Amino acid sequence: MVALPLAFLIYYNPRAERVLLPLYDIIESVPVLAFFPVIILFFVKFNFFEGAAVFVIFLGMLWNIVFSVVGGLKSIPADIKSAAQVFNLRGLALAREVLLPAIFPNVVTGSLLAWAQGWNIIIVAEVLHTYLPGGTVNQDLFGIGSILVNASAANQGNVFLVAILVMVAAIGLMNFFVWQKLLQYAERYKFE
Amino acid sequence: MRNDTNLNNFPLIKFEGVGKIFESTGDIALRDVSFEVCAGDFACFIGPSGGGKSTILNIIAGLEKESLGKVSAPAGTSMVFQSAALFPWFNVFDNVALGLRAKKLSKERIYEDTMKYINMMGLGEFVAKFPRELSGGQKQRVGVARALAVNPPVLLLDEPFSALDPKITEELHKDIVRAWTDTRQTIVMVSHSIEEAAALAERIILIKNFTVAKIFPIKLARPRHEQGEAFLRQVLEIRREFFK
Repeated sequence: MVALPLAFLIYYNPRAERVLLPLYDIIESVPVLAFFPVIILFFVKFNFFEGAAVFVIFLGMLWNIVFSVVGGLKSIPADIKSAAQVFNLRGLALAREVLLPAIFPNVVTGSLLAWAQGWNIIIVAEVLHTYLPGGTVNQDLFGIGSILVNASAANQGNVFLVAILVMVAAIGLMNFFVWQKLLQYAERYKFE
Repeated sequence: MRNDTNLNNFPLIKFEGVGKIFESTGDIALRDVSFEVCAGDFACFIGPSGGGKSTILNIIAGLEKESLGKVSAPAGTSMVFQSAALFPWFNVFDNVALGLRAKKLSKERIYEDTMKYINMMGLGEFVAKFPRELSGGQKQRVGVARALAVNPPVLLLDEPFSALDPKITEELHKDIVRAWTDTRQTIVMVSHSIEEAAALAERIILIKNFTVAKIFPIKLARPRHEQGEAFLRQVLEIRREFFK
């Protein structure tokens, strides 16, 4: 919902592309966890700890989809764009009939990469107390990330192992039942 | 420059001193190009690669804008592309119906017109197939059906047979001639083959050095026999000018 408008803004407006593409590049190249202490301080003000974790995961995942979709939009064959123009597809009809289907494979691969990135960040994003001055474990968010980190710190090998297995199973099931199916389905949207 | 064989004898497309320079590179694509294509005509542009033939087609289709001169061409032209340019996520029916849906016609009318041109191109049994399930020739037939379905004032063909094998090309030539004979649609085609142009067109416009070098009216009777003496003489005449 956020990535597509950011990508389409670049596609539709060459001036915006000149400004935004380098800007996206800079923001994307800064490790998202570098922003985390500042993000936490902001959300703590509103006592909204979940917001901090959600926001940092969102930031970490966003750019994979944005750059993938920009790449997809730019690689639509010239003949296809000409055909759309010749057959009078404009505005919403162009987006619905041509652009959105054309970027579908890129949305899937971008989302898959973003999903993987999300798992990396979640390990850290739930353990809020390490970023708060005088923070305690009680301030952590409950989830696989905080269980892993806190079990490791408390030397609870069994808990750590179970958490790892749960995470591997969740990733494996998601990969098998969602991503593989989507990747397969996306094949029919690819240009020859 | 009038075509003796045209039906209505009024210029549907008119280029007057048209020039085209690509702004990004500064390269010249067309220089002082003037010609007319009349309603019902079948004109074919031939010439060396990179000579500006496709640019003329793109200008007629409104895909590019001329830098100099005056162009008059009707709106709503449709085009068959070298690559067929089919949408991989649509089946044959939806690819052909695309232009009709953009015209916001009724569902019944869209179905009727789409099936009419699908059947005309012999694609009846492939209606539900996707482009990846079709051969090169079948894809190009879908492209032709899609272009004809919108009933355009001018049908543009941009080297549509250049990637196909000779047998399929010959079949498609027959389809195009039949479609032209049935509908008397004005057709403007680009080809790199003199033989193909002479087999199909009523008029051949030779483009050399980014401008019109010569226009050849083709007065051969149809069906044209590519081994016939008159056909070979015509091809030889064009070939001499082509390589001059």
